[in-house]
Amino acid sequence: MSTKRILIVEDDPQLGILTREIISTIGFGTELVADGALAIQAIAETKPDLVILDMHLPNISGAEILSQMRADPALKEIKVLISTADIAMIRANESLANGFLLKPFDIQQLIQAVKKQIDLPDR
Amino acid sequence: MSLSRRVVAATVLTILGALLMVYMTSRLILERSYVQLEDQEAITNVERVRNAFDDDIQALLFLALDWSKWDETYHFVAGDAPSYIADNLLDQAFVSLKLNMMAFLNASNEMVFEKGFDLETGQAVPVWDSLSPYFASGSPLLQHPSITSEIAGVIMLPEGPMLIVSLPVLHSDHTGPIGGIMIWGQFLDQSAVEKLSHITSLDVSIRRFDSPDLPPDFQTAQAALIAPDEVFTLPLDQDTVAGYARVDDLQGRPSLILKMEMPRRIYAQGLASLFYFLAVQAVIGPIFAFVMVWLVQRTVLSRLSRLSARVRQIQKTDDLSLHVTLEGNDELAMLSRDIADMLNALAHSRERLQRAHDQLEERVEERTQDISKVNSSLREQIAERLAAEMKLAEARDQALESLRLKTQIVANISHDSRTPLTNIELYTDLLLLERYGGLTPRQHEVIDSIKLNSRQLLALINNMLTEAQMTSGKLNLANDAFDPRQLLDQVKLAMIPLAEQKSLSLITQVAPDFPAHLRGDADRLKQILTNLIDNAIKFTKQGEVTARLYQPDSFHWVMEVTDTGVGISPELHQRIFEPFWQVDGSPTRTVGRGVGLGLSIVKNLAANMNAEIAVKSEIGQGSTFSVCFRLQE
Repeated sequence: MSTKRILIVEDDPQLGILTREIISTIGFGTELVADGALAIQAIAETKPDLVILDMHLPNISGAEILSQMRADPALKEIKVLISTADIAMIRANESLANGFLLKPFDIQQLIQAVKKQIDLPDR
Repeated sequence: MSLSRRVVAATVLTILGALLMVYMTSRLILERSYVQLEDQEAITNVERVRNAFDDDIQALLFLALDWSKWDETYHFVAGDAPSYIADNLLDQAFVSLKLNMMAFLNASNEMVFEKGFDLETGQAVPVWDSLSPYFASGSPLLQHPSITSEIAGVIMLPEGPMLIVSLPVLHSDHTGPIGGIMIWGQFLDQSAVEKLSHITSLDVSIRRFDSPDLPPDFQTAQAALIAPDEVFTLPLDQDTVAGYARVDDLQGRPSLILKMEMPRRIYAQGLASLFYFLAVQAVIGPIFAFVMVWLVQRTVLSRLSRLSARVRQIQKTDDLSLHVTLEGNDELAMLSRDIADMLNALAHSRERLQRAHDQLEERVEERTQDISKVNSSLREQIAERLAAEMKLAEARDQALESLRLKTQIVANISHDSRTPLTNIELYTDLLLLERYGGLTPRQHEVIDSIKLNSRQLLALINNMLTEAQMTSGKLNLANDAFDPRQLLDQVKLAMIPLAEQKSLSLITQVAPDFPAHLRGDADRLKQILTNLIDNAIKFTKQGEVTARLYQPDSFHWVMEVTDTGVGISPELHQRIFEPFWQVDGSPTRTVGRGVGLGLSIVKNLAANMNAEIAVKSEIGQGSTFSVCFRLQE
């Protein structure tokens, strides 16, 4: 099995579970957090290969997490897929993120986006 | 200087001037004519004296003629009558004849007898030696060419001037031949001069022409008497005028100056009459001047000053009604009447002016009141306007606030609905992948329908959000590079299920040389294309819907959707772009689905992108919607 680990940060429990379920079917290790503060903690501890980051989160926003990651030398190499319903949010964080998922997305879009990040060599 | 003084001065000056003129004229003309008259009289008198002097010579000549034409004398000079001397040439004869000298020469000019006589002493004297040249051969006294020859004149001797007569001696019957020459001489002494004075009743005096001690007046005359017959006059003083005449001797040399003195009667009388005339003038002039001034004063000046005083009074009191008219019918009276008329006219016009002024003030007052009325009403209006404006601003702020709230709400709904929609999407996908167990064909169909409906719902939400953003002016357009073919494919993929539901073909076409990349907002362009295709599917019962990309020229590109649907009548081509409006003329849903936002959003987005939208359609002939974009570098 692959050693790649993906952290899913999503406050909607159903979407979190669905995302985790779909990604696990393609053979990546997944972890799910629904809270901004917990997400930072998890990222710092586990240093995942990819973070699927919802922008709309309790406590600390996705945008804040992204900018903290990019400011931290230990975390700045970690790839981030931002997931949001807001196009403006995508535009605002385009330069910091590696890719994005515009809600609503379907299975194909999700799988393609993740594979694109994981299969690619380091950026 | 006052007018009356000026009149007096002018009159006095005029009178004085007139006097002076008369005086000068009199002096110049009258006196000169008096002088001329006097001169003429003097000349006449000098001539009289000369004539008298000539008469003396003639008288001597007549006496001598009696002696020279006498047979006894004839015989005596011939030497034949020695008794002649005793009979005729005694002293007595000299006294009675008043002669100073007698000489008788014979035919050979030899002296027969000569004798001198002093009439004062009554003694015979020797003949003066100075006479001897006159008896010598060649003397003018001896030149008698004929028997009628007579010589009479003056000769100058050192002893004095002498009247001298020389006659040829003839027979008593006046026949020749000339027996000899008889010469008589008579000194021109004081008695002769007195006789001349007596005859002419003038004061006569005689001086030698060449006398070295002539008095000054004689010297003047001597210089003036150049010609033999000339006469010269000279006023000696105020009372006496003198006339001078020259007397030449036998040889024609100037020898004597006859002088005549007479009183200046004419001149004196002339001067006197001139003086009386001037005196009369001098008396009458001032009287005349006084009368004139008095008349002017009375008829003009006093009345003029009265008039002037009145006018000054009017000027001082400003009372135009004062009386200024002078009595009489002359120019001054007319002037006063004219002034009175003028004052009347002035009073009238002043009255009119005052009236006009009063009226003007009234009008100004009225206008001022009008203006203040208008002003206050304007102020009220302005206050009303301001209040209305404030209300409007409030209303506008409220409207903007509610619009903002609406946009916010729509945005929230839009965002918040996306997560559940994602869940629906993912669940339906997982169901269709039979992750949750096998599906019957019908179940598969139903789940497909769920997926389609969720996408319709998403499109609706997107349109609502876009509409809200455009209404509140919060639409931000991206300007990124995108692949138009990919965009077309993505929209086609999303819309195929909808087309298939109605058994319509969805065809896409891209012009062969269409650009591989364009710039713009790909999501909004997708939205436009989606809406156009959705609209086409909605109003098409059978046939096909075609989406096309092409370039009409090198500066534009066009997104075009054609259907084979019901078509739109030309008069409705503009209305279909209004929000919530559909082809059947009502917001009801007899033909298709949706809330009627689709075309309105297409139109507004196109306008925001500076794109032109055009529709070509006929009832039953299908429709073509095209959006023409400007090509961006």
